[in-house]
Amino acid sequence: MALSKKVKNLRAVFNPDSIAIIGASREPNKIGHVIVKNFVDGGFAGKIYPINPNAEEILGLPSYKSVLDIKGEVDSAVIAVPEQAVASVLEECGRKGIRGVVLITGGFSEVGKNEEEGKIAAIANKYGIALIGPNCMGVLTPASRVDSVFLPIYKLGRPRVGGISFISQSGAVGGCIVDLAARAGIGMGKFVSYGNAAVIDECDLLEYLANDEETEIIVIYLEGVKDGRRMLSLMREITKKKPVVVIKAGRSAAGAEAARSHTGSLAGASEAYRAAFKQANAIEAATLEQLFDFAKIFDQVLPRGNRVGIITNGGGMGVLATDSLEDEGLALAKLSDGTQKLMRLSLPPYANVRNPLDIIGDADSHRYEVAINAMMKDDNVDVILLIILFQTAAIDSSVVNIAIRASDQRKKPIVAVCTGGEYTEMHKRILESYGIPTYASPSSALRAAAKFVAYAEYYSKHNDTTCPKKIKTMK
Amino acid sequence: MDNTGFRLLSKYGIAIPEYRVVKTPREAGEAARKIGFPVAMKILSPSALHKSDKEGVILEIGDRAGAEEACGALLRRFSGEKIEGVLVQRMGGGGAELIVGGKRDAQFGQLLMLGIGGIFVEIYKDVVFRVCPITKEDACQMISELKARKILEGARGRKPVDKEALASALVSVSKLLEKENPSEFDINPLIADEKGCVAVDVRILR
Repeated sequence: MALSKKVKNLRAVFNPDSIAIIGASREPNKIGHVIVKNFVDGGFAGKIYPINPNAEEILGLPSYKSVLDIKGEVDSAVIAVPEQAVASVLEECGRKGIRGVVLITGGFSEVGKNEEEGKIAAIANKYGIALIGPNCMGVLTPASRVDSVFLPIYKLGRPRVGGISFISQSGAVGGCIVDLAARAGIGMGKFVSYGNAAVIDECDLLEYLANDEETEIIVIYLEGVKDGRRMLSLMREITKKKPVVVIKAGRSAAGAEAARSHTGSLAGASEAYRAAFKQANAIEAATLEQLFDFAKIFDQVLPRGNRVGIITNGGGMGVLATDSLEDEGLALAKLSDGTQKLMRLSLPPYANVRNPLDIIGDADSHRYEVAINAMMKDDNVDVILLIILFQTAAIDSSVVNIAIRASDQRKKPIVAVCTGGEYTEMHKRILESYGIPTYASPSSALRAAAKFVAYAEYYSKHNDTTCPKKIKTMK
Repeated sequence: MDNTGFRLLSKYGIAIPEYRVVKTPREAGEAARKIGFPVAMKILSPSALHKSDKEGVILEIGDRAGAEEACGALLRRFSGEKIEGVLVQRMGGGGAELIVGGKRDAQFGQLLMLGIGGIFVEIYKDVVFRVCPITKEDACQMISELKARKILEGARGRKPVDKEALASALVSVSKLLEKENPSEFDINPLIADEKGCVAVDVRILR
């Protein structure tokens, strides 16, 4: 894929060495203050230049009247000035040679000011600036501490570094997801709220992230696209290398009532999108919960088949899991003789050694260790569904380390189900932060696992997967 | 309605039933005898498009006298309106009733739809969509995504339908949609059986 100049320049937005914050403010409740503070407190290693015509110093940093007053080179800018001032400061950015701009300011096409937005886009295009926005919530790159999201860190958590990159049309939805990801311990590569998409749209971002080495999984929240055909053909290429998980908001059947044919009335607003996602082998989530349920499972080695080995310390959960397996088109693995023999030696005599492997309510961490390692070695098992009910007397926190060590062998994926309250949630967060996806129920875990298995099958058609490995980034 | 729909389907290699366009009851009787019974008749009139299908269509005509009578009835029903003729077409045996459609979408262009047909199509909504153009593989996947796909696999003693032919027909419709770019398009029903599939009725909205 040959990238256009503006798409290449997105690098300046996500990974700049220096950034100007235009509209920086000394007032703590102003957006222009929060952004400077997020860069400073977040530990951004590059140069930060606050721009404010009336200030000498903001948060201990010398302030400039204009980007043109800065001596050295500047890669990127965040603009949070009133809309009347945007055109002139953007022009200055262009003259300064700034390649990436995040334009937070609203008041353009979203309120009918299309002409004004067109002028902004023309300035950016004249200089080949990769402009995100206007009317957007900002950009996050946890690895390089780029943080132009204008919500304070104490109010909106920032996720750890990870492989999931998230594109959101909506700032509000995007913000909530970032906050939830941070709380759940899910890692993120990039986050971008792209607002009105005057210059950089969802397809440009897809194209960039397809080629981005920090991105292993692409997640998109979409309300609409400008060019459906371009999105379809792009996604089709990307999914050969990286999974794309997408949620499309706005399913109302608007327009369908005006249809004159059966097909017309059956083709609601979302049918075209759903068809395109299927054709592109993208993974469609129906709800926000599913969006992350699906995305986070990809942060580990690909499964080689659909045979699931279930380990549980609660019999009922094993039964529920077996029911869901069938619903999702997955198979119950037949444990090998070796696994059965080993488990017979390790489990109490009354235990029933079969899949689901019920290691019984008095299972301690050691028993989990034996079971997990046996399944890891068992060639009949492709995916391990690890059910841990933390409420029992025998279990303790060390089971988390055992699961993480097993997952670190990178031989097969582990999907954890932990159902419970605060104590359970604490352990789930630790598992998540080591890349083991956790779920509250066997059904949600196996729904995600089914997507993972189907994608792995598709992926192996296009890539060499002789040894299981993490999804490699597109070159 | 006129017979341009059938001509268009033929052009793209989509099977249609044998038909003749006639002007008089006498011609209708003769045409029906040549085609073979039972036949169906449809009025060909631009103004009939907005009428209910029932008024302009007579099905299951079993003999020559019936054909002459049906043609006369249609001509009387639409007297005073512009009539281009009466279409006499063969009625097939029992096969699976499908609907194949198209719609122009503002973002994605032509969409192709496959669904289980019949009078309750808009209630069951057992339909799948793809963005055109589609490959044969896409077509096969569409067929397998129908909830009632068992109907096509030979439910209740029927023979399984020729999926290969159905998939080819879908690819052909996809080509038609891409080339002709109608705003809406219905083949309803497309009758599929073990020998192939035939588009019994078509509606094209430009």
